[in-house]
Amino acid sequence: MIENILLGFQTALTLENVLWCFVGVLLGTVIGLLPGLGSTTGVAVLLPVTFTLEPVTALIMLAGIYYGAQYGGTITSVLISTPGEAASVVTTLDGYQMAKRGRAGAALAISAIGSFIAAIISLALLMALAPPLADLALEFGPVEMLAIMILALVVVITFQGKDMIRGALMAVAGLLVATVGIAQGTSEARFTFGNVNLLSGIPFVEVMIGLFALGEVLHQIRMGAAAPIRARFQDMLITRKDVKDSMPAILRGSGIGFLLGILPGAGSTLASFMAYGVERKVSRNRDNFGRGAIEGVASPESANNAAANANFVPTLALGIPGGATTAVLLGAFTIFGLQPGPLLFDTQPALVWGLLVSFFIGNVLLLVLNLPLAPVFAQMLRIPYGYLYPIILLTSLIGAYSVSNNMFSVWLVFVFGLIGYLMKEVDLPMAPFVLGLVLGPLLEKALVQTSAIGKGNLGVMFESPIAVGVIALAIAAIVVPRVLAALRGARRDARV
Amino acid sequence: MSPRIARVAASGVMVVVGAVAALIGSGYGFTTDNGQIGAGFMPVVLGVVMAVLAVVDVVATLRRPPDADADAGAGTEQSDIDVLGRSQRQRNGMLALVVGLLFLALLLVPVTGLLIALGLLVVAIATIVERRHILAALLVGAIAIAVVHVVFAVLLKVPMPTGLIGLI
Repeated sequence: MIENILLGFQTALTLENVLWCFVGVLLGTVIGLLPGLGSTTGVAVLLPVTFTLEPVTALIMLAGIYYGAQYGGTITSVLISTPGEAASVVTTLDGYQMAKRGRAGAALAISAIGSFIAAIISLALLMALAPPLADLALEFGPVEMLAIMILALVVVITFQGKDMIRGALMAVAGLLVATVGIAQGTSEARFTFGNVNLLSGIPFVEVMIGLFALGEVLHQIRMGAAAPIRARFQDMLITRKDVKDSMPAILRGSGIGFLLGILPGAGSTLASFMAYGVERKVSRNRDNFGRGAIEGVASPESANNAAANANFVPTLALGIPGGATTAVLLGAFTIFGLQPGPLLFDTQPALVWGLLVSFFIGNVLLLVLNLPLAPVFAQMLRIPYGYLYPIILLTSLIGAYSVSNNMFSVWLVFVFGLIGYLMKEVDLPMAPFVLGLVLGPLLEKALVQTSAIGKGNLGVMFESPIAVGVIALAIAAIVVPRVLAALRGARRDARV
Repeated sequence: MSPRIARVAASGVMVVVGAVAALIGSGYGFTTDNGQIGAGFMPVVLGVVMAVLAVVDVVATLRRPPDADADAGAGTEQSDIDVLGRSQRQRNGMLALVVGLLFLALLLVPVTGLLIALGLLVVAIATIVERRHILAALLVGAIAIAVVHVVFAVLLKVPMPTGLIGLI
């Protein structure tokens, strides 16, 4: 093991690799800042730039773009409530509230620190556990993945506390919107009404830009101009107490992120939602969640970074991409003549371990780059909103267009912007809707496959001990807090 | 519209959407010939669940005391006058104007192209809605368009629709 780590550092720490890693995280951060452009687009767009590089250098740079873009998405989530990608959606809940209270710098800094610690933890876990975890991940078939997705939806629904019905309603609405387009399994067109643009479904990025960017802008216009944020520079800086308070959330988020990241298809989004849901239940500061709790930023940010790293377990060890970005990276492997799979660790040890160690170096670079820059980015909030929101509209619509080079995307942003505004006005939660939309196609695919395995009988799910365990967890997530609350109430009544 | 009526109306719309989705979905086939789930399974199940949950929400909202809705923050409004001295009525007008201008800008794209249409939108919002000085608005609009053009059209090579006038 030690030889592998040394080999990794030897490979990743050459001047050329460190330089390209830096270029990758820098470009990734810039790409993540642009609405509509996430890590997947960033890696895909910049892939041709790496063709002249050595394979290991190219992959190190592309991986740098991956986690750099995630951090860039966090910046816009915190500052203007516009997540760059799905994994940053949860960060808007408390990050944006922190920004409104003049603590954007601290939110961005804790995100960078959390991501850095998550990278160290996940790197250590990756090195120790990658081969056995790859075997474990193989145990997760459609049945188990279906159970995991049900658990994720339940966790997100429980975010809503007493308003769980509305959470469930929005999760179901998200899943329903995800059914638009070609059906999984039967290839039948559903709810397309003859529009070819709808055949591939309602595109997620455009919906997200509409709901979060346009919806928030319209909501702010109706709410009226708030007093400008005039935080002192020292308030923008993160304090030792912030870091101390966030540490348990970072550690829990890293663990959850890593575990979910190793599952093919689960990815960073699920990890960030789950980590936030868990933190909201166990954190000492849980009462402040949704109102600018720093733990509400630290936890999902650590989780999505740990998951991004752990995503490489199925990608490298099984040749199964953990998510959309790792799918593009998998394409890069094949372009460079490499065959990801169980043999890759033996045939290309320098490349594999060099790449894994580069995550650590890349996250050090991100920290060095972004910790001093966090208060600087936060100064963006000083721009008068009267100028800021037309520019948010402009970049959001152009970003949406650039996803598919199609005006249909821009109109979708307009429509979902109005829907997002109405959702805010009637207090309908967006997080369950977004997760429903993301998980919809994956859930239906797992459902179709489970149905095929059981020859039409979905009860086959209960023959898998892993699936039964996960479903039991989902039930516990709903029942246990209610039972505990009832017990607390009964104890209080008894005392009175 | 009071927050309570708005919430009931929103849930009412979802009852209808859920029911219609289930109805249309049933036409896709709930199961396939070999008994496995069909293309209509998800729409029917989700449509029914959505309609039921929305009905439960309507009932829960109506049974709740009116004060609770205000406490829950549904349709919350800040004090009538904001820090720039605009009343709620003026802000509602601004909102309608921004939505209208946005709609117009998108209709203009086939003529002016996307960048110019959105550049005009930035200038129009800054001057008409936000009452900023025209020169400042033109400057902000021009800089924003220049940056967006360089990043998206030049560096990322996104083929922007240039419309009938075919400029950028």
